Amino acid sequence: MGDPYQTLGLTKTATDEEIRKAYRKLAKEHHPDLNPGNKQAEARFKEISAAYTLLSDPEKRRAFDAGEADASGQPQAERRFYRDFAGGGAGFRYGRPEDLGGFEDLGGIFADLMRGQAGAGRSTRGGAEAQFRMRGGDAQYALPVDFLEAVNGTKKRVDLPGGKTLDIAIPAGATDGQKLRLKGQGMPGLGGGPAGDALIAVAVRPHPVFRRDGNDIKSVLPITLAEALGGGSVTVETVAGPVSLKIPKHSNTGQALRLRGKGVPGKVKGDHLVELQVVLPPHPDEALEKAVSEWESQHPYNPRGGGR
Amino acid sequence: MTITEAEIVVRFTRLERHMLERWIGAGWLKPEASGASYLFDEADVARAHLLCDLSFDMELQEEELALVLSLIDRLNGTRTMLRALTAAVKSQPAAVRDAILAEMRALLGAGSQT
Repeated sequence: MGDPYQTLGLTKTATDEEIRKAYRKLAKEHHPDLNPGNKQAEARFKEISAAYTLLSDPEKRRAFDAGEADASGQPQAERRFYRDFAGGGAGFRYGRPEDLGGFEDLGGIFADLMRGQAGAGRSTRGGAEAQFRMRGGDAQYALPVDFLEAVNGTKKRVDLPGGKTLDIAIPAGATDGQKLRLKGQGMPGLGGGPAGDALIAVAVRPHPVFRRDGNDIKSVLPITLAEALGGGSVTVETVAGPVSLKIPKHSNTGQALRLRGKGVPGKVKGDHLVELQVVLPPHPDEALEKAVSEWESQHPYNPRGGGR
Repeated sequence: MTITEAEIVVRFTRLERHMLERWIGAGWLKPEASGASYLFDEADVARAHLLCDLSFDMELQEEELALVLSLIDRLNGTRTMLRALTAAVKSQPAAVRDAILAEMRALLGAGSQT
């Protein structure tokens, strides 16, 4: 980068207001999104932005003026401009159908062009028009769904640009990243060609309690000391709702209990695996400490190997 | 890669949530709705950046911003169509391609007279 003052067309005596004004003017002129076909605009705009970043920061400007820092090495985050996306799905999302409207009579223009050439020999009119039929592109969308919606299946209503609304059925057991294809719901075709497809990528949001492992659901169930020792019946949340679970006597942390058929629904029903986690009471208790320590002095055991 | 509403406000320090909501309300930004919030993909982020430039650096008021944005969208729509047309012409047999180019030259030449 050259002299930032020069880049903005200023001198060292420029006021903050003059710097801001100069940048505003140059940004309007060179912003890549206002010059979508101009490759140089991006380089020029980056230069202007870097100069402005330096001069609009009093400390950086002082350091530069004092010769303590040069204009190079101004770190600038790599930036992708909107124009880079406007030709793809984003253009379809943001552009309105009438933005393409001026070309609806293209078929006619082609016909005219071809008629003009008919005298030169071959009649290419029919062929050219036929070849100009183009299938519309596929439009890609990401559709975030909640964990339980993906597991149990759901219907989602999605508003597309142009006022179109799609009802999308998320099948039960849908996985993260799974693509759903909606025939004919993509970009419109050209010259009477068929529309492309809409490709919907399902993005499953994680659940605070449930994890998925294939068709099985896993969760951790905290239990009290008394439940671990004496067993008991507790209510467990599953993806299909609450169910009652019997904890056997002498259950330990890490032990897994299987709730058959309570996992992901489908042809092959998954199970729900409940991993037990023994939890001490919230506050220290002398009586408990004493009782357990007395008990252990009579019944020593080593959980780190050897003992039972 | 998508980011949340909270993340985009952090990324663009000048952008405040109420403005973001306004832009979404006006249809200038169309992030994916996600519960009560939104998810922005790369194109949405790039467009939000553009809106920040127009609004903060170029100091456009909302009415002007709407006008500029609509022109940008039309320009991009036109460019998309033109690219498709160029590709279609390119894929034609040489004779057809030459005929189209010759006719275009004639038409553009005629057009410059008026």
